[in-house]
Amino acid sequence: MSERGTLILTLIGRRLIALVALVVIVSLGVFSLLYLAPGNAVDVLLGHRPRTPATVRALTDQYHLNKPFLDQYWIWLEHAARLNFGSSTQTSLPVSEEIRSRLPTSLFLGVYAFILVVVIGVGVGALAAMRRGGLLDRLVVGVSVVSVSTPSFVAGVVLLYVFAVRLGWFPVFGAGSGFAGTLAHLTLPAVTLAAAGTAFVVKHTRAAFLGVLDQDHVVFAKARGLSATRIFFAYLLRNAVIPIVTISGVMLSSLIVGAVLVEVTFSVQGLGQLLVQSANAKDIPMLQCISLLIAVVILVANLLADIVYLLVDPRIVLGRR
Amino acid sequence: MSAVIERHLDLTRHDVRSRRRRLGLVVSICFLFVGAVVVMAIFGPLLAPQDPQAQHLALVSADPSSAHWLGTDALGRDVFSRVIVGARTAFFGPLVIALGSFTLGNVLGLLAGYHGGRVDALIMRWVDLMWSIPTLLVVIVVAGAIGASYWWAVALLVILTVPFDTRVVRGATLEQVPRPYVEAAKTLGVPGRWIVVRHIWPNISSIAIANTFLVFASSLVALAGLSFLGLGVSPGTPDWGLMLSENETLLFANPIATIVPGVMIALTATAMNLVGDWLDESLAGRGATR
Amino acid sequence: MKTKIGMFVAVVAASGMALTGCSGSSSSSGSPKAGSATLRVGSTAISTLNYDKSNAGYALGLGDLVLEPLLVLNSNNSLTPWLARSWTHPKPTTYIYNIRQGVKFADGDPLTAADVVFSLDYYRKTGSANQYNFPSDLKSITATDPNTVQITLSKPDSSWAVVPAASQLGIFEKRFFEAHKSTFGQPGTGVSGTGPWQLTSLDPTTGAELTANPHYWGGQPPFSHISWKFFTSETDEALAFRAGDIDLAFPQDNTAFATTAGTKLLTVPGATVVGTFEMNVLDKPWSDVHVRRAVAYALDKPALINAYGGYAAPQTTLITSAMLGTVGSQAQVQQVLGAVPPYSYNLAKAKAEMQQSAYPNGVTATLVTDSTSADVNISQAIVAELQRIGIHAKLKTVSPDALTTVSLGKNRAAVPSGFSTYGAVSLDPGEGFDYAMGSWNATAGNWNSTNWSTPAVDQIVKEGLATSDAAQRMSLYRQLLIDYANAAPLIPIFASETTVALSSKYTWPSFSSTWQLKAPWALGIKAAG
Repeated sequence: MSERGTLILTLIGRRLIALVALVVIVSLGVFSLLYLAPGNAVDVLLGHRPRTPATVRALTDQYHLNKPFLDQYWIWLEHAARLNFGSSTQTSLPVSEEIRSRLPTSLFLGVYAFILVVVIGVGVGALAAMRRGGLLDRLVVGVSVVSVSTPSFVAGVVLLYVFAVRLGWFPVFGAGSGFAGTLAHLTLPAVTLAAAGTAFVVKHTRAAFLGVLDQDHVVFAKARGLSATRIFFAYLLRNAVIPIVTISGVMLSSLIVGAVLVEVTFSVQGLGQLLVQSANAKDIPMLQCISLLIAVVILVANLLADIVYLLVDPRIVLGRR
Repeated sequence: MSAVIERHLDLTRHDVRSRRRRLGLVVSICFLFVGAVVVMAIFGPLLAPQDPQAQHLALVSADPSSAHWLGTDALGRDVFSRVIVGARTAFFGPLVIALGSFTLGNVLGLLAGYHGGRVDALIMRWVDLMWSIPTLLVVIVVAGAIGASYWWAVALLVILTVPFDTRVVRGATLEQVPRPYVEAAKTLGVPGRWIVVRHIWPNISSIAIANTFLVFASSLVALAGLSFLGLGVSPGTPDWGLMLSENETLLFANPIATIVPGVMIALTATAMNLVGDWLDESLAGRGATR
Repeated sequence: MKTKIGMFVAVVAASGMALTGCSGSSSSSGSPKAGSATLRVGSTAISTLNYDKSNAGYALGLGDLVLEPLLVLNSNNSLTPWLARSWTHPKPTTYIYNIRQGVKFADGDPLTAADVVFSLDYYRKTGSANQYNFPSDLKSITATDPNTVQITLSKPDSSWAVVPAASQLGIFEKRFFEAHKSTFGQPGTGVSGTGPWQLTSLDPTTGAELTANPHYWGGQPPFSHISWKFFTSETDEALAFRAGDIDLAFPQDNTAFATTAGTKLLTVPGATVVGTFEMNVLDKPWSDVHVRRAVAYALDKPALINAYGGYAAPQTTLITSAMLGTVGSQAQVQQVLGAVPPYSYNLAKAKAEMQQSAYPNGVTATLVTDSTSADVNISQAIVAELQRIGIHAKLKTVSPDALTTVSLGKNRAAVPSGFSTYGAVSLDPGEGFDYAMGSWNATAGNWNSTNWSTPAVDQIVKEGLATSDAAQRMSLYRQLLIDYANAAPLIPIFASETTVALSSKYTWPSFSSTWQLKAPWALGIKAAG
C-alpha cells in the first residue's frame, strides 16, 4: 500500500478509537443525568404516576436502582446498544418508539435544510465572489450578516405571521403526509433552519473562491479566454469543496441546534420538539436517549467530514507547527 | 484535525483590504445602536414611560394606542416599556458570558500558543471536543435535568464558550511566537510569563476583543433562545426571548407585541456582529513587531 | 398549582354533563342519517386507548366515541340507561345492572356481563390510572348471569351511583383484550368497543381514524368517518381550524384559540371546573386565618379571569350551583348560596383583616404555579393583587408533572400556595370534590392540598355520602360551604365555561357543560342549515 494510504488508514483508525472513547464518555455523562436531577431517582422516573409500593418496586426492578452506580451504568449501556432506553415518564410508552416515530420528520427537515444550504450557499457565495465588489456582492454580505444574527425563532415567528396571516401560501403547522404534503409543510421550517447556515456557507464559499480566483493558474485561464463556466467547474469548484467539507461539521451542529428552535416555533413533531418537551417535563429516560443519539450523530458526522477531507486534499499538513 | 482547520481558516483572510471605508456608515450606526441598548440596559426603568410590570387587566392584548405605543400583552402590561427594560437581560447575561469566556479563553489560548508541546496538545484536545458540541442542546438537556434558571444558563454558557476564545487566541499567539521580538526577549532571559503578558498579548488583544463582540452576539441569541423555550428567565421577567414566546399565541391579535422583541434581538446581535467583524478586519493586519 | 387536569377534565366533563335529547333508549341524537360525511376533529396527541396507562384518550373525547359506559346522564343530569337497560338498588350495599340485549361490539361479537365485569375490574386494579374512580368500599363486581352485573359494597356509599356513568369506564371486549394483552390500546391494535365508531388507526404523531360501527345498537351514526388529527400545540390546532382543515376542537386556552382560529367559540356556563387560589395551612403566613380572609377580600375575580384568558364566570363556592341542583330545587340552591359569606372584592376590608393578623406590617410568601401559560398569567396577576395588601409573594414555576408529584408527596408543606384548578369527578355535590376534602386526604398521595379540615367538616363529608336523603344532604352541604368560607383555606375564583370550536358547517344544539357524560358526544352534531 502506498505510504499515503497507510498514513490515512492510521489516522482514520486513531480517529475511530477516539470516537468510541468519546461516545463512552458522553454516555457516562448522559447516564448520570438521572442522578444529577434533584430528588430521588425513583421519584424522577415516576413522573406524575402515583407512588405506591407496587410502582416503586416495578421501577426499581426495571431500572436496577438498587445496584451500584457502575453496574447500573453497564446495564444501561447494554440496553442502549440494543436501543432499549426504558419508558418515557410522560407517557409510559417505550422511548425508542417515540423516537422512531419522530425520526423521519426530523431527518426530512434536516436533509431539506442541508440541501438548501449547500445549493444556495455555494451558488450565491460563488456568484458573489465572481462579481466581487459589485452590488450583488455587497447585498449578499449584508443579508448574510443579518441572517446569521437573526435567531431562528425570531425569523420563524415573522415568517409564520407573513405566510399564515397575510399570504396563506404554505401550510404553516405540523408535518403533513405523503412526500408532496411533507415537502409543502416543511418548506417554511426548512427555510428558517437553513437561513443561518446558508449565510455561514456563503461567507466561507465566497472567501474560498476569492482565494482561488486570485491564484495564478486561474488568472492565466481567464487570460487565455476560457469561459466563466468552464473556469468555475474545472478549477474553482474542486478547490472550494475543501473548506465546505471542513465546515460541514460545524454546520451539522448548528443545523441540529437550529432544528430544536424551528421545530418548536412551527410545531413540527420532530426530535427537537421532543427534546424540549422532555426537558420541560424532566423526562430523564427520553433526555438520555436523545442526547446520546445527537452526540453519536455529531461525532460520526465529524469523523466522516475529516475522512473526506483527508482523502480529498493532497496537501494536508500533519504536524502541529 | 486542528492543523487542518488552521490552514483552511487562513484561506478566509484574503479579502480584507477594500472593506474598511465602505463600512464606515454602517458600523457607526451599529455603534450607536449598541450604545442605545447599553443605555436601555442600565437606565431601563427610568426610561420606560410606564411600569413594565403594572398589569392593566381590563385592557389585555390591546392594540397599539396613544396610551400604549406597542399595545399590551396578555396581562395588560405595556409592551413598549417591557421592550426597553428587556434590554437588561439581553445585555448583562451576554456581557458576563463574553467577559468570562474572554478571560479564561485568553489565559488558555496564550498558554497553549506559547508553551506548545504537551500543554498545547492537551488544551487543544479539549477545545476540539467542545468545538463540536452544540452548546444550546447541552444547556437544554442539563436544564431539563436539574431545573432551569437564567444564571445557571449563563454559567454553563461561559464554560461552553471558552473553547472558541481559546482557539482564536491560540492561533494569534502562534503567529506571534516565531517573531524576532519574542526570540530576542527569550534570549535576554525575560521570564515566559512576562513575555506573554507584556509583549505578546498587547499585539493580539485587538483580535481577542473583536472576537468578544461576536461571542456577545451569539450568547445573546443563545440566552434569548433558552428563554424562548421556557428554560431561561423566570416567567414575568421582561425579556425579549421570553416575550417572543409568551406572545406567540397572540400573533393574530397583537402581532406587534410578538415581533418587536424579536426584532430587537436580531438588531442587537447584528450590530454586535458587524462591529466585531469590522474590528476583526480592520485590525487583522496590525500585529506589530515590537 | 394545577390539579390533574388531564384526568379530571374528562371526569368533570363526564360527571357533570347531560346531553339533552340524547337519552339512550330513544337515541334521537343518532337519528339514522345516510351519514356519509367525515367529521374532522383536532386535539393534542393521544398515544394509547388503554385507560390503565393513560387517560388522554377519553379526556380529549376520542375514547368516548369507541367505548361506552353502562349509564349516561340525561338533560336533567339524572342517570339514564345506556349499555345497561335498567338497574335496581335492592339493598343499601347492592346495585344490580341489567345489560341491554342485542348490543354488539364492532367486530360482531355480542356484549355480555362478562365483558362488563372484566372491564371494570381492569380499571380498578391497583396502579391503574383509572383506579381513583372507584370508592374504596367497593367489594366486588360479579356477573350473576350473562346479562346481569352485580355490584357489592362493603358499606352503603351513595357515591357509587354515578360511577357507571363515567366515560373513562367504557366497556371493552374481554376476548379482544386477551388476544392482544401486551398491545391493547396501542397504535396498531386499538380497542374493541360497542360505540358508534370504531378505531381503524392510531398514530400518536399524526392522528387517528374512526369509521362507523356497522353493528351499532343505536342505529346508524351521523358520520361514516371521523378523522382525528393530533397537534403539538394549540396554536397549530387553531391555525388548522382557521384554514378549514378541522371542523371541531375543544380548546384549552380559549382566548388564544379564538383569536388565532378567527372564530367565535360555542360556550356554555361551566358546572364542574373551578379555578381556586389555595393556601396551605401548614405554611406561614397561610396558617393565620386572618391572612386567608384578607386574601379572599383582595382578589378581584373579574380581573383575574381576564388574566387567565376569559371564558369563565366568577365563583364564590367550590361546589357549583349545578352540582347542588342535583339535590334540590333552584330556589333551595339560591338559598344555600345566599347563606355563604361571599367576600366581595374590598381592599379596605382586606387590609383590616391583615391588621388583625400576626403580620400587620406585611409578610413574604411563595406561590407555586405550573408552567402552562394561563396558570402563569393568573399567578402573576394574583401576586400583583397580594402586593396591594402587604403580602410580598415570590412566584416559582415548575412543570405540571413536577408540581403534581410534589403536591402529592410526603412533605405536605412543600407547596405553600398557588393557583389550582379543581375538576369535580361527578355532579354529585358530595362526590364531586370528595377527593380534595377531609383530613384523610391531607396525606401523601392525596389531593387535599390545603391540608385543612376540622372534625365537623370530616363528619359532614362522611355523612353526606352515607345518606341518599336529598334534603338532608342539601343542608349538610350548606354547612360545609359555610365552614369552608369562614376558614377560607381556598378561595374559589371562577368556574370555567365549557367551550368548543365548531365549524359553521355544523351545529350542536345539545352541547352543554356535561357533553362528555351524555353518550358518545358526536352523535349530537348535525349539519347546519
